[in-house]
Amino acid sequence: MILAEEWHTVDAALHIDWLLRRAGVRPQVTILWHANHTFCLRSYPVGPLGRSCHHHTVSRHMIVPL
Amino acid sequence: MRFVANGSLPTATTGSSATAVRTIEEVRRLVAEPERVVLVTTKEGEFARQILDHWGVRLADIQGKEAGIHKCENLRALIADYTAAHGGVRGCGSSRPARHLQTRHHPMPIWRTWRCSWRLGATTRRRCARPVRSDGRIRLLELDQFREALPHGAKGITGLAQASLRPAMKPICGLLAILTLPGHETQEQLHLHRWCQWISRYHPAGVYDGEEGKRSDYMASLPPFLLQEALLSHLDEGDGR
Repeated sequence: MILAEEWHTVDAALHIDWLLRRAGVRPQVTILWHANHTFCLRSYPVGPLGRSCHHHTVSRHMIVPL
Repeated sequence: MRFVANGSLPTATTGSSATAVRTIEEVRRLVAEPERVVLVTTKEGEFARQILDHWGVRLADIQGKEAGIHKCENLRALIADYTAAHGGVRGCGSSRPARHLQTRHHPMPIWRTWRCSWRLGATTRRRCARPVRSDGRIRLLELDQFREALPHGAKGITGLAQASLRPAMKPICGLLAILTLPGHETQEQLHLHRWCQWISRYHPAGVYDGEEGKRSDYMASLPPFLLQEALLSHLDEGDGR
């Protein structure tokens, strides 16, 4: 399991997802990306990130934006 | 005029003097001074307002992230407006605020395009206030479940990584970009690798100094390392989940 947070890690999470798919081991790994504020969601396309990672948050205020 | 720029209210700093504000008494002392006090924060301004209301603290204005621009831009605009109106900003005679803004600032033109486009409207606020229910797309953990998963005092990614360790597990890597600590550190089974330290040698003013270069280096170099040094050996043995 890989857990990432903050918008700075979005590209790294997408990169890891791509490397895992290329290595044929993607189904064995769960990638969680922790959203702790809405800046993250405004900075990056949520769609591609959502296809690569599970979004995760501990704030109910993030549920609606997610 | 005083500008209070912060990442979280308990650790506010003043834009004019960069003095840490750590207690409610310090906040009250600051606002009691005969100057206009504005809070600039990257958090939701409404949340900051509720906290200050709870404390009984009244400020001239609160500029949260609903302003839609980076707080450094916020500060610059506030200072420029005040300077135009009054011919100067009291307490900003030293070079520290300017240096602070220069070193912490990083150009993010995309942020400017959100100005006034993503304020939380009344409908959204009402939806946020409603209890959230689990459905097929959202799975909720009770707070007690979340607390049970964390050791006492655990915080952030490091705490979660420590909490995820079990005796039968092989060492895992917690990967951070903190720059002032050792590049590699082992805490029992947990291995901490701190990235981008070579960049920080050239940008010693803080975590935001050279931020874009650090992000690019992190994005390019961490995933291959993670795959080769940490993941593949576990996945080959079938314990990757």
